[in-house]
Amino acid sequence: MSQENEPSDQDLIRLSLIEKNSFSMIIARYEEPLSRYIRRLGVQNPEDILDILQEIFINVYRNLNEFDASFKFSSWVYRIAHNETINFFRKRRVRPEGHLAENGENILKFIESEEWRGGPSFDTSLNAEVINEAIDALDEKYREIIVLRFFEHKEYDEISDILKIPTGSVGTLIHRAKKRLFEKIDINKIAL
Amino acid sequence: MNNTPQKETNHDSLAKGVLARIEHDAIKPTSKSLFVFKNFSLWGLWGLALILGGLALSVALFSELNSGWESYEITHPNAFIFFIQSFPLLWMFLFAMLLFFGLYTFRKTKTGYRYSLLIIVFSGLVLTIIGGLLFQGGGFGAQTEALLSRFLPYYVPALHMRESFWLQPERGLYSGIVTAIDTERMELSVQSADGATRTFLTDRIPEEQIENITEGGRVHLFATSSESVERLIACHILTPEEGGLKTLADVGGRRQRILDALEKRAGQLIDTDDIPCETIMMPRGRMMR
Repeated sequence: MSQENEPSDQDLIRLSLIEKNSFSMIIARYEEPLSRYIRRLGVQNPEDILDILQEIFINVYRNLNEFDASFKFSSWVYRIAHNETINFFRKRRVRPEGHLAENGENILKFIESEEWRGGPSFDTSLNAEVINEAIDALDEKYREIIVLRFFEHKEYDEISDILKIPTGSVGTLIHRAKKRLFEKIDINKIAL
Repeated sequence: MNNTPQKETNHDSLAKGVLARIEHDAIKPTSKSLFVFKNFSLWGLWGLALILGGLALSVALFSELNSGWESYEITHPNAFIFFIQSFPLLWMFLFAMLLFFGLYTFRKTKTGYRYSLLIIVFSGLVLTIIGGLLFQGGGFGAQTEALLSRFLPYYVPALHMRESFWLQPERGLYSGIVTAIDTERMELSVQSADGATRTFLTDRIPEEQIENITEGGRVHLFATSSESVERLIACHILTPEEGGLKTLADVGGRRQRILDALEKRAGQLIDTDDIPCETIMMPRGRMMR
């Protein structure tokens, strides 16, 4: 099926409100990206991921009427996913764990991107793991924004909607996150 | 029998699990009207916070303008001390709380988070200041204060504050309501805010000042005591203008009239060589040329 024939998010919402079984189409569309996002936020156990996903989609269904078409549906769903994942960490009193190793390519792309300008130079093929560890060691608010910007490839306005922060603050937060990341990478001693 | 759906362990059956739970728990999408109501309520609360903030500011402005700025040099050593004592702390605190509440409700609206704190606070401040000035100009500050004075026994309106500033017997300053005028004996009885009723000899007071005094009216007096006379000797009587002041220009106008009256009286005291009264009034020379 071509992308043009695929129903839009708006259509799926309308259908889900009429017939709840249609909600499975929304689940199918967002299950994989949200699962990846939850893992990137630091949940590694598949059972936990499944629990969180279930809570996310229950919340999405319950609040379907809240969705405003002036927003991006994906941003709205990601916001719910973000909140549920943070709730999970708080309820279980655990820290984010694991790393973004599966995203080695992404990390390297991130380093090569324009936004890395100003960052330390190093042998990228040897140090994806170092960067991984550095990202893991960041504070939650910096890790979140690094994940959204460089791994989920969200734009600034989307990040603003997901994290519910002023649009102007997104850039500042990214800048600070990079700065902290560079400091942690220096601490981990990159080989030049 | 456990009717709770079995937790799915396979991602492929996530959808089944979710739908089963929706069915089992009878979960329904929350009504849209509830979200609309919530958002409207938040905007409404924000608007209300701004309006009440403007009203609080207007009362603060009215209170400050009418606390006696026109004669602060008489009642206080300097403007700074007068400002500290007359500052409408309660109203400004209320104003700040309402501004904060407005910020909080704005942030909770659907798109409120998109704006920086600085912009929200600044715009809220600008709107409430504009509102406050409009309310003050429309007389709402005065009306609100009058209403509160009637219903809240412990509320001290600006007028009472002004009167209390004028009541400093140790410095020869008195204020109060005229309870009796005896033209034959040239005496004036005044009941002050401290509850005391004092009698003043008015033989040194010019005719035009006496003519302005009425029973039940408010007066401010410079007075001195004398060993030979049991009553206080009135040196100068001001009949404070009633009616609220709305602007700095109003305060300036009233201040000029007091200055003119004091200057005229100074000339009379010098002409008559009235030492006791000169003594009590001249330290207030900052107001007298």
